[in-house]
Amino acid sequence: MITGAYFYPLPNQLRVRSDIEVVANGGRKEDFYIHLDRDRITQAQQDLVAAFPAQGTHADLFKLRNTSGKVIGLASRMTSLIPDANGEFELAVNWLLLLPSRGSFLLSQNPSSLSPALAEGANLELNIQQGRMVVGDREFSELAGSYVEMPLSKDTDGDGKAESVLLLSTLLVGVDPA
Amino acid sequence: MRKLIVLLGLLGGGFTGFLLVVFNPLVEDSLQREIVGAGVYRYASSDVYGMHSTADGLLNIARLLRGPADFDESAIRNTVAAVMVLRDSSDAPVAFATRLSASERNSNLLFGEFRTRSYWNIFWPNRGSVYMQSLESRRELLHDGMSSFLVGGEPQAGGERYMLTMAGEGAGNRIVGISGLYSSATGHYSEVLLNPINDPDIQRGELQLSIKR
Repeated sequence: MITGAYFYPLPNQLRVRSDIEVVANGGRKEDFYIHLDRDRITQAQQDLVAAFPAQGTHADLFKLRNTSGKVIGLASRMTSLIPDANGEFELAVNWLLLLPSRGSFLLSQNPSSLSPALAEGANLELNIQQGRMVVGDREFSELAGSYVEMPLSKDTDGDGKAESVLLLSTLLVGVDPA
Repeated sequence: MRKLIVLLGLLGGGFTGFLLVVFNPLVEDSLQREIVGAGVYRYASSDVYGMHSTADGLLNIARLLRGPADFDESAIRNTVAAVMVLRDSSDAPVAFATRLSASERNSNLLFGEFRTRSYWNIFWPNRGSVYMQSLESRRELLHDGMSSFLVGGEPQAGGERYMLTMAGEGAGNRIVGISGLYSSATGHYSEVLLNPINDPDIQRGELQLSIKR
């Protein structure tokens, strides 16, 4: 009985191969993809809109895929207006990513964090957004860095039909925990 | 007849051993205390997807009894995703949140580990946002679910409040400020599940946040 209890298969987490690319400065680049139609879990718009009719308040849940197209985790995207240092309101975006076998981390972006080139230029027309990794745990606990959020159009099934895909491209480097 | 008695003896012994393992009095999870003077927020959400936090889900047999879960992909099969509106003591909506949870890796039945790790992102519109994380124990839920199955009745031996959040350094309980008025916030929190069995389609709970800004 003791042996059986020890080996009883309680819910566990499958470790999926990480598609990480090592970059020249010693950092690590990892891309995550969301197929906007089939990976959307919920929008929760009814409850939220009823509670917070103000513009900009939004929450989405998604499945998260790796470069190979395999589902490897979950993500939530939340937006809301918040005050900046001058007391003026701007739209903030938070991404919470959970890779069950590896850990979790949070990405945050607000308009004032955009680089001058992005803030002024044509890239905003493509709706490219960028921000920073704020906090993480386990595999991501001693990492910091940045990310870019970019809409793509990809033929994900090879059937000649393009699908809307959201790319989250992260560039993380190790930090001294002290 | 003798074979039947032996078979019944084996089955009875096995079942008794299983119950001793599940209700092992030598194993106890260290749970967070309710935080007095904290900011208290309640939620009642039907936007909860993924693994069942019921006895069959915790014992990893829900797929046999109920069929495939919301998430059938192997990497996220044992996860839960939720969106909720948080309300204050006067029932006014003051914040909204997402919670992503995953069963803790390498949990072990022998050691009574029925644990999940949860990550929160909370937004107070027009104010700011925080990130929260902690290890959670679901032993009380499992015990009440099993008791209800075995002896009948409402599964509320633990009362109507189930403290999920674990205490201690290993639980990693923390609040980290992200943006706006909470950008430099720190703290810790507790989560209490309310009447979890009464209406499985709606998850009710209470968050007690101790935040320093």
